[in-house]
This record gives sequence, structure tokens and C-alpha cells, in this order.
Amino acid sequence: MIRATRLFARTRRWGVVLLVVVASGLLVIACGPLRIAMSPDGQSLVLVAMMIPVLPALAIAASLESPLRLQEMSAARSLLGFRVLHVVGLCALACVVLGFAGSFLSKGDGPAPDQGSVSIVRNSIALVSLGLVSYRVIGPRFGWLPPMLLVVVPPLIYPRVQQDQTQIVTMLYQADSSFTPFVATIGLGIGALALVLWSGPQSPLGAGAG
Amino acid sequence: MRRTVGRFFARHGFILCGCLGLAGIFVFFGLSGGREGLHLWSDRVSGIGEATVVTGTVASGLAAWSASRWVDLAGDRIASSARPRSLVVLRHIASVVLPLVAAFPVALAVITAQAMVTKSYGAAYGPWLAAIAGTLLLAATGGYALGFIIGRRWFTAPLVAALFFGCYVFAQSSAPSFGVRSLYPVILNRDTEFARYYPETMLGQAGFFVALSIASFFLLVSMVTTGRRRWLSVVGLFTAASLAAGSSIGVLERNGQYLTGYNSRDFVCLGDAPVLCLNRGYAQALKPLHERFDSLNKKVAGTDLSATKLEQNVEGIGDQPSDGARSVYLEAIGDANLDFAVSRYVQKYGGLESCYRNERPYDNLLAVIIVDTWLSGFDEYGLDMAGEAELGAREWQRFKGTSTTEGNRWLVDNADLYFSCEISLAELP
Repeated sequence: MIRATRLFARTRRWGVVLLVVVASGLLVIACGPLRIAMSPDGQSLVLVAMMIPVLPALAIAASLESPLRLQEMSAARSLLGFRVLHVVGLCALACVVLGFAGSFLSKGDGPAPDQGSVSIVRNSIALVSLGLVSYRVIGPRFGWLPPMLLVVVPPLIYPRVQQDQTQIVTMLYQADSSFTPFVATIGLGIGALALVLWSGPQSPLGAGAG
Repeated sequence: MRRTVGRFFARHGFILCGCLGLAGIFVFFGLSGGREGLHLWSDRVSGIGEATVVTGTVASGLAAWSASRWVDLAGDRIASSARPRSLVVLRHIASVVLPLVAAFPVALAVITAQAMVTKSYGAAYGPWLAAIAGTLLLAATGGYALGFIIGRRWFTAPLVAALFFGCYVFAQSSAPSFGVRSLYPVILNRDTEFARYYPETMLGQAGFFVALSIASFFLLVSMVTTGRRRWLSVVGLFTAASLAAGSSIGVLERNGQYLTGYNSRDFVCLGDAPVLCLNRGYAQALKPLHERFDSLNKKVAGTDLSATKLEQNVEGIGDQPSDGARSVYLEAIGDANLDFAVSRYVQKYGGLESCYRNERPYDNLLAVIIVDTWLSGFDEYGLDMAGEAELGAREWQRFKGTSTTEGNRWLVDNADLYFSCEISLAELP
């Protein structure tokens, strides 16, 4: 059992993903209350720390694609448990590490007093889920696009977060207490989990890994 | 015939998808940046420039994926090729980068068609478009080069895309001057009708991006060639790098500045008291704005605030207002924006300036604000929402119902006090 787990961990690059998670946590602490203007007129100011969860998200989603696809298709034991462990375990680890790092974001007097650990954890879960869904549905050629686009595009469409009535498009940049992004994240998480449980190790569209 | 078409799409479908996607992104941002009711080329160009963050990220990732796959599959073929290796690499890099860059003229064609249909005012400035095309070229080529170097790994495409965006975030957040930041392949400027361009900056940027792209190509060629041929590519690399450095001087000299304030005075005018002149692109606002200034004139008749001649944006650096003209500032032409334009006029030429210049007490400031709000009809300071106990709330509730003639008579009687910001809350009717 241990050997199987170790083998699985090696094929799914858990070591590298762990490094990415830790590095992202350090990046969140380093960025702190830093805000940048996404658009030229300096209007859409976003908290940089809110964007960082995309790095572990892409790592977790991309690493799930197996380099031994053909062998695993005829494997003796079911890999479902391992895949669930990969997804849930690594996502939980990312949430813990990033959530802890997020608690360093200055609250109360900083430029974003209403965005902290809760937002970072929510963003991590949302981006991991979105990454998993897109890698499964679209494949590794374009699978990294939806999480990146969710990070890059919304602040350009809505320079001020309050302009977004749906609160879903700019869900990564909403406050801790916003309810709709929270619900959307849960929905994405359930969808991603269902997709992982249901589909096999093969990528649809027959595209090669990486 | 069907088989060749089928094979073409099988081989190049991915990049064609990418090209269409990039074109779609450009069109979306170019057309969605427009302000309500206005059809201006400057909004479209600003939108396309804004899109370069997104298109750069996408293009670099797509090019990196293509390069990493090809270098993995064709490595042996390159090593044993009969043709010069530089040509082999050139052929593939062109087949990836050119379709991605072609997305820009495709998008431009769509946007131009829409602009012609809506009879948009203004024109796209050539060097500005060249700079935008340059950002796309460098993003695609740079992404290709990174993908080629990293090779086929599980993280190549997302890493390159994240790197592109991460460097942009770093450039925006850190201390380097605007000029240095302008060397990154993302456009940081907005276009406007009331400006003159510095083509040296834009062409310098375009040259810098193109030269760096060529340098990346020579870097890759030098990696795959051996022996004497390698020197040629190294020479090419250094030449291109020097050209890039030279072009960057054009950008850094002006600190990346694209625009300087300038009014072309391309006006359309309406009425005779006041004469309201707006830039041709804002012509739709002439009638409603003129009505508002008409009603303002009734309220301020006999005082210095009377508007006789108004021209849009004529009191900035380098502007030449005609005799007796005052400036009117209009950002967009929704109802609230028109009221706001009147409010800005009142605040600029009324008593508010004296309040700040002479550092008048809060009581006087509030009284002037109440008068200004009544004059313009634009509640900038939230007087309507002020609680009962707040200072000035009762006075505002009393004043806001004043009729035009009554208010005008009062203003004429108290003109001196109003303009010097010496009127107090108690003296309001």
C-alpha cells in the first residue's frame, strides 16, 4: 500500500506540487497588502495575494495527468482512491498553507481590510476545482486557460469590484463576507470532485500529457 | 481536396483555434470599452491596448505548448536534417507565431467594420497599433522560446503563461519608472481625443519588441546548430540585442509617455447664449447639455457665473481657448455625466475655489456647496442623504426648493459674498 502510494506520488509529482504550495504561501506573505492596477487608467486595483492561489491550482490540476496513461488503463488495482487523495489532500494542504499565509494580510487598516484568509482559501478551492474541470474536459492543451483567464480578465471588465452585480465573474476579488462567490466555489468544488470520481485516467480528446 | 483540408486542420487546428481566440479577446475588449452613448476610436484603441495583458498571457502559453511538443517530437529530425537547421526552426516558429500575431489584423478588421457602421469619431494611430502588434509578437515568440528551452514537461504551458502574467504583476507593483515598465510587452496607456501623440515612444516600443523577438529566434537557432554555423547565429543574436537596446532608448527618453495634452479644436457648436462647443465625437450631447446650461444661466443671470461661450477641455496645458471661452469637461454623455459637467463648471468658476484658496471655515464652505448643488442639480456631496442632525442638512432642505427667480435674485444680491466664500449657512434663504 505504501509502495503503491509512493509510486503514485512519483508519477503525479507530489514533491513538486508541495514545493509550489509552500512557495505560493511565501509569496502571499511577501506580497502582503500590495495592490496593483490591472488596467492602464489605474482604476482596477486588485490585491495581488488574491491571484497567487492560481499557481498551486495549476500545479495540482496539471500534475493529475498521468505520464503512464496506457499502463494505468490496464492497472490491476483501482486508482480512484489515489486520485481522490491527490485532489482532496493536496487541495486541503494548499488551503491550510495559503490560509495561514493569508492571516498575515494586514486587516483593518490595509487597502483591503475585508479580504484575508477566508478569501484566499475560497480562491484556492475555486481555482483548483476550475483547473481540474478544465483539464478533464478540455485536456492539457488549453486546460490551463480557464484558471488563468479567471484571474486576469474580470478586473479588466469591472474596474471596480462593486460594479459586478452577479459577484461571480469577479469572484476571486470579492470580500471575505461575500456569499455568492462562496456558493459558486462550493458548486465548482462539487463539480470537480464528481468529475474526478467519474472519469478515468485518460484525457478525453486523446491529447498527450504536457 | 477534402483530405488536404482535413490534414491541414489536424496539423494546424490548435494554432488556428488560438488565433481565433486571441482575435475574439481583442474584439471583446476593443468594443466593450466604449462609454455610454459615445462612439470613439480612442475608446476602441484603449480597449485593444487593455487586452494585451490577456492576449500576451494566452499567446505565450499556446506558443510554449506548441514549441515544447515540437522540440520533443522533431529533435532527431532537426539533428539529421539536410536543410540548414536555422531554416527548419524558422519554418516551425513561423507556423506558430505568425497565425497568433495574425489575430491582431483580423480583430482590427472586425473593429474597423463596427466603427464604420457606427460612424465612430477619430482614427486609430498607426504607431500605436504597431506597438500593440509588437507586444503580441514578443509574447508569442518569447513563449515559444521558453517552451523550446524547457521542453516537453507537464508544467510547460501553464508555467510560461503564469510567468508572463507574473512578470507583468511584478512590473506594475515595483518601483521602476514608467519608462522601464513600458518595455514590458503590455500596453499601459489609454487613448483620448484631447491629446497629441509621441510616435517616437510607440515606434521605439515596437522596434524593441521586434528586435527582442528576432534575438529569441537566434538564441534558439544557436542552441540547435553546431560548429561554424553557430557563430552566425550568435552574431545575429548580438545584433538583434543591440538593436533592441537602441530602440529602448527611444522609449526611455520619454519615460514611456505616449501622449501630451492638446486640443485639436475640432468642435461642433450649438446655440448663441451660451454658445456650446463640444468635440465632434461628443456631438450627441450638445442639445441635452445646452438645455442644462440654459437652465443654469437662468439661475445665475446677472452674476459672473453666466455662461456665454463654452468649449470642451480648453484650459489645459497647450490649449488655446478662443476669446471669452470657458472650459466645459465632459467624460461621457449619460444624464448623470451631463449634470456632473455642469457641476464641474459651477465649482470651477463659482465660489468654491476661493474657499480652498483662502482656507475659509467649514461653515462658509458648506454654504457654497449648498448653493453649487442647487445650481447644478448634481448632488456630489450627498446632501440629500445627510441625516437630520448633520451640519447643513436643514439649510439644504430649505434651500433646495427655491424657485429659479427667487434663487437668482438672492444670488445677485449676495454675489460678492458667494464668490469670496464669505457667505454663511445662516444667510441662506
